[in-house]
Amino acid sequence: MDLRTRFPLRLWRPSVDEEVDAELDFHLEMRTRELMAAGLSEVEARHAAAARFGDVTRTRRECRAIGLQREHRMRSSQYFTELRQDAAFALRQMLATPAFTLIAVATLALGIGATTAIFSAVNAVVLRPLPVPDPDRLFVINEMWRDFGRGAMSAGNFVDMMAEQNVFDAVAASTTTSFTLARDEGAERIIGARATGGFFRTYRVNAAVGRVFGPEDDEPGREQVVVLSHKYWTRQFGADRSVLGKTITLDARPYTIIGVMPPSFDFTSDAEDIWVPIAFTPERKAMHDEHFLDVIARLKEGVSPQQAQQQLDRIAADLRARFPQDDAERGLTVRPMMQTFVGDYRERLFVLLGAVGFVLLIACGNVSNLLLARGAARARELAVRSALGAGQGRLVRQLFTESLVLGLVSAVAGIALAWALIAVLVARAPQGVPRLDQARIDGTALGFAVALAIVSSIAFGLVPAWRAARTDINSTLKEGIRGAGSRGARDIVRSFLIGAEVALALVLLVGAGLLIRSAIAAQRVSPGFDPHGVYSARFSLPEVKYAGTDAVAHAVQAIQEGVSNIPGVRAAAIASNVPGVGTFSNGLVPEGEAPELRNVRQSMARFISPGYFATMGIPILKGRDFQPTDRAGAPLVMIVNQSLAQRLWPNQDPIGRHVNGSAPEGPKTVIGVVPDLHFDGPAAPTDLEFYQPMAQLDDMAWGWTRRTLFVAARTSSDAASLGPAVRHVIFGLDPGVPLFSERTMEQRMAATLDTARFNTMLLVLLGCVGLVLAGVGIYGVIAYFASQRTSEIGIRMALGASRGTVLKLVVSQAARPVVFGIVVGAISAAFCSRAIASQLVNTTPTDPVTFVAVAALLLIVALCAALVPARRAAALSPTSALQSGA
Amino acid sequence: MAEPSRELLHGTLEPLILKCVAQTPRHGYAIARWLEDATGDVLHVEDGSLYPALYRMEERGWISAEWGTSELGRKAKTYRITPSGRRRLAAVVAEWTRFTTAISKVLLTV
Repeated sequence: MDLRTRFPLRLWRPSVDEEVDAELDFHLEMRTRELMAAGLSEVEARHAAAARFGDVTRTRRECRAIGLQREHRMRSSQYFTELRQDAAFALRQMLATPAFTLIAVATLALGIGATTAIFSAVNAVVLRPLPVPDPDRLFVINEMWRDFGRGAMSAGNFVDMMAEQNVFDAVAASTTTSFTLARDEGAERIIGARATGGFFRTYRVNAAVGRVFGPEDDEPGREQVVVLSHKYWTRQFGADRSVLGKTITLDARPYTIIGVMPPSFDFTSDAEDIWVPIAFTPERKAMHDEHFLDVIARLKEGVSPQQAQQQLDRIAADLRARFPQDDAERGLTVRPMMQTFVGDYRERLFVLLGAVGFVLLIACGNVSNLLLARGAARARELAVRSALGAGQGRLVRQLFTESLVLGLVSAVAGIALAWALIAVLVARAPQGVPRLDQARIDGTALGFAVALAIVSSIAFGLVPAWRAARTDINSTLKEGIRGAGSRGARDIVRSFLIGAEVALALVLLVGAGLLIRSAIAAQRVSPGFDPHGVYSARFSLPEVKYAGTDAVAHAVQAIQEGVSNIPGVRAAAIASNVPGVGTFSNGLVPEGEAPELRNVRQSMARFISPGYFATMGIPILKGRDFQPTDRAGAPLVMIVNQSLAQRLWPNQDPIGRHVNGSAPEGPKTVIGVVPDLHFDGPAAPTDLEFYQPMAQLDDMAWGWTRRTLFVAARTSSDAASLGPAVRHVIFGLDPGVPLFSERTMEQRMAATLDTARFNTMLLVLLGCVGLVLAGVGIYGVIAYFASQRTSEIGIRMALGASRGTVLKLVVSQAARPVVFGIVVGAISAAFCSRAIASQLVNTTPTDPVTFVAVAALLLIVALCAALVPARRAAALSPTSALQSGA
Repeated sequence: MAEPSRELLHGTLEPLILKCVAQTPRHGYAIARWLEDATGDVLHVEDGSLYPALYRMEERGWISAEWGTSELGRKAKTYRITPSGRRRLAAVVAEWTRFTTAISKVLLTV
């Protein structure tokens, strides 16, 4: 190809406007001359030339338009050509300096990779909307009683609220429950929900196969239909479409399969597997006690959540007036479903994202320092380019392109790292983080990583590029490399960078330190029971077969005896709940006070068989344990925990006093006091708790348990090995009773502390990475300073300075920015640590021990990082120092 | 003689310009003069309509322009044909031949 067309010479290249004018003028001029040569006068000739030309203005306009378009196109194509050249040059440079490239890319990849991994978790758990139409219009409505927080709704309140509201398009209630599915090979327990007819309409999700149930199915007598989740359909029926119309037996009653939901309706991997209509009876609809319903609602278009809340406030006021017995002091609150769905994982994940962002910033600081050091070495190259006509803007662009290439190459490595980190994160994370298993490198995460790379490139490339472009050509070319730039200003930039790195690392380490302190504090507190060697599991007694209290009590007793007789078992018990598993609450009123809501002490009910306290290793502090004589017909008794005793009768002996509330009806005598249990660590506020003997429960109380109970056994051998024997006992009594959720009590405790431990581990890990990066950064800068001052050091040593003086000289250069960083970091940390305040146990967010320890740790690391180059400088002989510096 | 329509002009003007600058690089005025001489001014082109055509053809890459010095010592923009312009010219000539052969066959047979 012709070189001239590829690179047209531009010795005289005027603007498009000038060019068009010149060309047209030339034409008119030539034509005029020709006509004059033919004999016309100059005036006549000009006139004729213009006439022959036609509309000059229009021609000029057309030509300008085409010319401008062409120039624009050429300029952008030139820009991209230059960009390509710069990028190719940057890549060649990276390959030419492999050590520099490796360190820079590894540092950045670590930052970008870790940040991308945490981001994809945040995206999967928090940011992605629920996969239903208009998820923003979905809200959760809760009851609120006094300061007890948001709670479930009673059927009566739900039905009345639904009838009176007009701010929601659809409202539905559901309750998650476990079903016992009869199968040939034994009973299986599945998690599902009973829901009102508007449930699927509220979500606006239809069945993928068959149909969903609606209000017409949600009537007693017509409710024996079931909708399957996609995951259950796939797992259990191999995604066979012919299951429609088939019958399955749930809790010993036949249900017809009418539909299968789409896979997107499986919000989480442990979401419900089946849905059946709840079919309230007229009695249930009138019942304003028993708060067990989760209520969802779809807000109407054009109605704000505030307006909805105002209407709910009015409805709640109405309910309070109509049902003072059940609804006094009760309110209704509405909040976005996403908030309920994500819970406090939002806060925890954003703390992690912030922490990992700090690591990335420290990484950027280090790379910025590396580039500054290299910029000094490249000053000559840039001065030559500048002398050859490259403008400042062009040089900055070249350097930025280099940063960008470095950033993007690091992003590629970072994405690979993120991919691995996500796998580790998902595998090691505590159970129950919603949708975490859906975290992956998708388009959003890729975009995030690339955006991160670009922003990082600007962050770490800005100062070096600016510095390099400002280099004075003359002095650089004259003095060579060592005269480049104003060293004083450069030193300030470097000092600032390590100061900032130290500050960021300090904030990270304070966060990690606080969580460690909190974990130590949590470990010191006794849980109040002895979890070692205790086996526990759940079982469900199908209501159809175990309807009456006698049948249940009999089964419970048989299972307890069977398990007690297993060799190695020292004590066994049945309980509605074991420590750490949530239970239902009851309002208790001490005898002597009016049975009104304002006198109620909301307390957690635990129904237990004799031997429970021995099995769990819970000491009886006062009074006595339940005896076999505390059975149906005998005087009703209960045992309370310390907190409840204190709340009911402050500083008085609770033994022998009477309490009303809970089932069965009638005053119950307090016969004993047990300690408060700290299952979730001492962080969780202690519940008011009471225990009742199972033998005295009535129908209503058994209903609350849904006949799903725990069996627990203390053994002298390995608790986990009890499983087969317990299963054998239960299967021997009734093969239709499923046993599930088998865990030792130690495992249950570990599971609840898992989230805290996982968070602590991650933050400690990030803190350590930040510490190492900051240390490397300090080392690099001090080594650079020392090398810049080699000749000065030589002179000082020649004049008699001792090695100690030289050490002090070099180290002291690091001291100021490090101390500055520690002060700024400590102030920032005092603010940032509030973000984890809710995760702290017996530790304040400004715990002085943590702050001092972390500051000391950073000082030591900084000192070590500075000492290495300082010792090297001090070990130089004055002669060689002077020679190399000359 | 009626003024030729713009479309006809477009269709014929560009091949003629290509033919012109294919012989030797010329500036705009020289092209205009060549058009008059070579076609006996049958096209009756307004001088002004030549330039948008030149700019368009430059944008399409058929011709390239360069500022140089004219025979009178003035700065003038000189156009030369590019390889892509030569291909274009050959294609237009072939098309024209095919077209006129076909039309002639019909019109000239009695």
